[in-house]
Amino acid sequence: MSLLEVRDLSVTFTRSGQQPVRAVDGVSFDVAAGQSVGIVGESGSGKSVTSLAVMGLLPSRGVTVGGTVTLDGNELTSMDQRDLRDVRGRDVAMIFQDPMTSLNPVVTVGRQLTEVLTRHAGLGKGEAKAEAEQLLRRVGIPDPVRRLGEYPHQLSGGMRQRVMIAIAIACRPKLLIADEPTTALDVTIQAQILDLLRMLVAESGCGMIMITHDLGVVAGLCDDVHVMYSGRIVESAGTKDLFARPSHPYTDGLLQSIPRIDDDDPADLLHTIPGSARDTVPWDRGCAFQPRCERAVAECLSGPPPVAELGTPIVPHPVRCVRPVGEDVILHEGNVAR
Amino acid sequence: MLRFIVRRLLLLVPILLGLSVLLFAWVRALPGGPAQALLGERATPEAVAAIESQLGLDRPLWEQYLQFLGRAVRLDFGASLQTGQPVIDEMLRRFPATIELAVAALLIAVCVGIPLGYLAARRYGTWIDSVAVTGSLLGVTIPIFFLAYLLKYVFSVELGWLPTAGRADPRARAEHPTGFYVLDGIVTGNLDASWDAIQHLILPALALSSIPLAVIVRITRASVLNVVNEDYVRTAEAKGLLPGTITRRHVLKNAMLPVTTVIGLQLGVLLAGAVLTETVFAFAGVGKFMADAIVQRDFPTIQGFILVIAVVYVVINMIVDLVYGLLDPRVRVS
Repeated sequence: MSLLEVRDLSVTFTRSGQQPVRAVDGVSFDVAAGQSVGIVGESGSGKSVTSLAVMGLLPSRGVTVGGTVTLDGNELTSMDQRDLRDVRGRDVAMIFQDPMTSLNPVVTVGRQLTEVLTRHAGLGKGEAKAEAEQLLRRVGIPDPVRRLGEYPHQLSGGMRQRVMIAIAIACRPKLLIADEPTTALDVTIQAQILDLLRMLVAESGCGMIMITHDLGVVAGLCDDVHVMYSGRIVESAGTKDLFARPSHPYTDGLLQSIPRIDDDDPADLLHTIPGSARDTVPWDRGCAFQPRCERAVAECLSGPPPVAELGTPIVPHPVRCVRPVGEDVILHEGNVAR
Repeated sequence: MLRFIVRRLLLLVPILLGLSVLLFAWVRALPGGPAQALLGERATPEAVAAIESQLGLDRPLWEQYLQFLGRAVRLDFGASLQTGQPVIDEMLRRFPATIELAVAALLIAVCVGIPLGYLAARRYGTWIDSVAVTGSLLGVTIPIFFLAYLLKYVFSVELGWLPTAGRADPRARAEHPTGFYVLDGIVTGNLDASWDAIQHLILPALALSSIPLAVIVRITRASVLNVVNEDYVRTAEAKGLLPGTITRRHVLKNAMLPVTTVIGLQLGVLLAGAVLTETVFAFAGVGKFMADAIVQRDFPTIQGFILVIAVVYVVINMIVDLVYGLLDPRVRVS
C-alpha cells in the first residue's frame, strides 16, 4: 500500500447565484514513501486546489469535496477538523509558494518554528528552541541562534523559504507537499532550494508532492509526473518516460514551450500553446483541451475522452486523449485497452 | 527609543509656534478687534480704547505677539473672562473629569468593540455580523444628546439604578487630592466614594462611547477579514495549530495594527471634551467650560485650551506610534 492514496478526488466550489465550478474532477494518484511525485499544470488547472484538499485546508463553506484521501491508512476527507489538526503539521506538512507572505510578519522566526514543535512533538520551550536551532542549521541557515530572534522581514526571500522548509520538516512528516516552492524566488536561489528539498527527501524517506508549472523542476526532482488540465489528470508517467514520449498534446505543447538554445530555426525559438485555459469544453461533452489542440478531430467532442494505456502494467503511462501524439489511429472506448 | 521620543517632542515646537501665530491672528481679526468683540457692538469708543490699552492692544503687533508667546510658554494664558480666575487653573480643575470620562468611554468601546468586531468577521455574513454592522451604523448616526437623554430616562428616571447627573453624590463627604474621583477614593481609602464616582460615570461614559465603539467595531471587523485571508494564517492552519493560538498569535496580533491607530485618534477626540454628554449629565469637564467660553467670547480660555489640546494630540500620536512599534517589528525604531 502506498503512503498516500488519492482516489477520485473532486472539489466543487458553489456560490449562490452562480454556476458551481468543479476545480478538481476525478483525480487519482499515489505517493510512496521516499517518492517524489510532480503535479504539473498551468494556473487554474486545479493543482493547488488538489494539494489544499489533501491537507484538508479548503474552506468548509461553499466547497464540496468528494472521493478519498488516505494517508498511511487513515482516511482524511471524512476526518473532523479536530483530528485533522493533529495530522497537519505532524504527518503531512506543506511548503507554500510565496515565502514573503507565508510567514507571519509580527512573530519571530523562532516562535513560528517552535510553535509547531511544542504543538505536535510535545517538546518544552527549551527543547523546542534547541531543536529549532538544529532545524535551521539543517536547511542551511548560518548563525541560527541570531536568526531565531529575528523577524521575517529581516531575512532574504531564499532564507525565508528555508525557514518555511524548516517549519515543514520540523515534526518529520511522512508526506511533504511543496506548492510551487521556487516560483517566487530568484533563479539562482531556485536551484539551491530544489537541491535542499531533494536532499531532505532522500535523508528522511518521506514522500513528496511537488506542485509546479515548471517542467524543469519536475525533471530534476520527481520520479513520477501527473499532468493536470482543467481539473483532470490528462497524462501520468514516470518522469523519464514522460520527457521521452509526451503523449497528450497538452504535455507535448508544454515540453515544446521550453525554449531551447540549440534549436536550428530561430523563428521557432519560442513555441506557445494557442489560446488560454479559459477556452475550454466541459469534460462530459468532450476534451477540455480541444479548443487549443493542434491535433483535434471531430471525435474529441463526442463525450468524455477515454483513458488510453500507452505503457505496460509495470510501467503505466495512461493518457486521456483520443489521438495521442505518436498514435495514428483514433482511440475510442472499443480499442483503448491494448 | 529615547531619541524617537525626544524627536517627536521637539516636533511640538514648530506645531505650537504655528498654532500660536494662528490663534494670535484670529483674535486680532475679530470684527472691530478683540476689545470691541469683548464689549459688544454698543460699546463707546472710550470704553474700547480703555480696554485696548489695558490689554496692551494699542502696542505694535510683533510686541503683542512676543508678549503672548512669552506668557504662553509659562502656561499663563491670562484670566478667564467668565470667572476671572487664571485660565490654566480653570483647565487643571476640569481636565481630570474629562480624562476620567474619556478613558471610561474608550474602555467600554475597546472592551466591547474589539471582541464584537472580531466575532462579526469570523461569522461573516451571519446574523451576528448583521447585528454588529447595523449596530455600529446606529452608533455613529444616533445623535449623542438623544442617546444621553434616553439612557438617563431609562436607567436613572424609570429604573432608578444610576444617578442622573454630576460626578459624585453631593451629600457624600470625600476628598479629592488628584481630581480623578475614582482614583481619589482609592488613594484616600474611601472605596465608597470610588464606587459612587463609578456609578456617576457609567451613563455618560456609555453615551460617549457610542461613536468610538461603532468605529472600533467596524475597523476591527474589516481588519480581521483582511488578515484571515492572509497566506500566513493559512500557514498556521497547515501547521495544525490550535484555533486559539491561530487567533491570538496570527490573526489578532496583525489585525490590531490599524485598530491601535483608531483608538489613539478616538482618545484625542474624546479628550477635547464632550460638550453634549457633559451638558446632559452636568458633568463638570472641559467640554462644557469650552462651550461656555465660545458663547461668552472668553478668548483667553479658548486660546489656552486649543494650545493644550494640540499638545495632547501630539503626545497621544507619539504614544500610538510607540505602541505600533511594539506590535509591528517592521516599523520598530532601531
